[in-house]
Amino acid sequence: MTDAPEQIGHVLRASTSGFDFGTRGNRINEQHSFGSFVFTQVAGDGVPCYAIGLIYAIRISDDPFVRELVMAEALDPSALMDQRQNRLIPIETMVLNVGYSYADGTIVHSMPPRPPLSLTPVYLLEHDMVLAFVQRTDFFRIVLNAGEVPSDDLLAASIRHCGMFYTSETEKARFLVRCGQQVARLLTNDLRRVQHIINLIRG
Amino acid sequence: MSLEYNKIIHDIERMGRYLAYRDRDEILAKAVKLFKTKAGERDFVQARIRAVRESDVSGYRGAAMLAQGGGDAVLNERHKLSTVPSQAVIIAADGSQIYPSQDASALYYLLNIATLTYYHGYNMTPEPFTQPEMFYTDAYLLDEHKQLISNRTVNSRRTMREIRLLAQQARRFAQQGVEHLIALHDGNLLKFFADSDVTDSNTLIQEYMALLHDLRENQTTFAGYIDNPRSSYWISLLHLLDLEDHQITDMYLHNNGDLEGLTDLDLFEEILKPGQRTSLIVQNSPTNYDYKRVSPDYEIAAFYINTSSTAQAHIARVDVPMWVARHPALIDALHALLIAQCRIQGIRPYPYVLTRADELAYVGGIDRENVEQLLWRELLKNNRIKQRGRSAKADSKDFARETTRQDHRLGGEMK
Repeated sequence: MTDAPEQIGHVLRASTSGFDFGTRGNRINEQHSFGSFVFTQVAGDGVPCYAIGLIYAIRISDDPFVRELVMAEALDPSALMDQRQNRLIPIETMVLNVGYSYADGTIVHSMPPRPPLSLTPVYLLEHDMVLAFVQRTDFFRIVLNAGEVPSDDLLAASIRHCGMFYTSETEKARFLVRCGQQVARLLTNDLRRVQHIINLIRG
Repeated sequence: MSLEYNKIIHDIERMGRYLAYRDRDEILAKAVKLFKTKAGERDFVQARIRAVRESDVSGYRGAAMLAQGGGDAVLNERHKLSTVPSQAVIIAADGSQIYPSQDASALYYLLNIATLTYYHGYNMTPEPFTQPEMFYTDAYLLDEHKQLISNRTVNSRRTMREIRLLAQQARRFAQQGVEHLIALHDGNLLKFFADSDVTDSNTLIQEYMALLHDLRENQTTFAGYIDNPRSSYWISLLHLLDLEDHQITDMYLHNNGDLEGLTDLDLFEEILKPGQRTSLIVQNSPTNYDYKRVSPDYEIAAFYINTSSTAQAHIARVDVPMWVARHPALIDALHALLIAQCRIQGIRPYPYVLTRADELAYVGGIDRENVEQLLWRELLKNNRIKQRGRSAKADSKDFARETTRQDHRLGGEMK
């Protein structure tokens, strides 16, 4: 993988189809978004292998104390800072695996051979790696067929997310058209859904 | 035909509740009337307090007015909320413990003391601090008769560490010249360390007095916060005021007569409007007298506040040492800041700093098990596993079995 990727959490629970990771409330930023690409090392002592996934849900848990503060007439600013910066408010992020890669740069658009272990660090996939990954669009089928996942919105968000990494408008337009064509091919029997996803990509 | 008791049992229960409430309402009404009338007669109150102090009466443990030159002029006055100071530093401390247990891998106890420093009006993030410590040597675990110390001793040592940490933190801010510096303790300030069940009680009392000295020298507004107090200082005073002169004897003062069963909380739920506080009082007790003998500044005074912002009253008692009680401006600031703290939590009016200090200090069941497991591993490494008690195998099984994990939701199911 690329040098010094940004760590955004640790794995809580996992399967080959995806994993959940946790992070503290004050660590969340604009890159930690629905449709972002992330990666983590899967279990095993052999050749390092990295699961690549898409963030499909972000959940912020409450507790009785937070519910009590919400009931107050006005939220005290110092208490708000205390809650957000000092208290351990965990953010749980759910990831759908869409591929995996090896250290030599090989990328496979399929579920990884093994899940990551608990507490394995999770990183944001860097721009060049995202662009390398979407050279092919085979992972679209995994997203569109995933259960318990808002597939259409997730696919559109990930495509929009990738589009931002193209510095050339021409290349970006070419990428978006290629994605639209692939969506149309995969959903030939459901033109309404194709139209919906294309509308979501256009924003 | 005999009476079918099962058909009237609910009526009897209801009647019992009705009579209990009717009687309670009557005695509460009497207490309220005494508060509004006789408690306002300053000379009469002083004469009655003098009568119990100067005679051979020894059983009076009720409220008394503050000595001349201190506190509020009228005892039954209800004080409105003053303006909240624009800036203040409020430090709250709390503690939690694991008691020594013969069933544990080894004899030890653990104290976890926490503080939260809250910067009122400074736009600064509150500062949490925790200080966990384990005690495992004989010097800490055994009393002078080589017996295991009591849980009350552990509690007393924990309380002392809480106050010590408060004093340390307060010293830091005093050096910075903070104008309103509040050190808030969860509990009363009249500490009964002299209990025979508490090991080294004299040392604890001496240290407490030294900490009071420290807090006073640093001009700290030291306060103890007692939520839902069970005390009846005021009820005892009202009973004293209700007696005839010839009735001021131990026989009449060993309980609160007609007002017996009422607490100060019952009284002030009726008396105090949201945000109001009572005047300051001192408890007439040997312990308080002992404090006063060490220094007049260490006598403990108290007032009650209604921390609620709704018609449903919520009463707390606030203890303060006399060096604070003598200054109306400090009491007004403390009163206003405590109400501001209680407002943060909305429907459960309790100071936010104390809630957080408690949360930081709390040692829960899982923590206890984890400490025990860590200790067990260390003992195993050092070949010091105790032979008696539960087996290591059983403990290990329990630990593994209680570790519940949540499955990953997608669980490998793909369409």
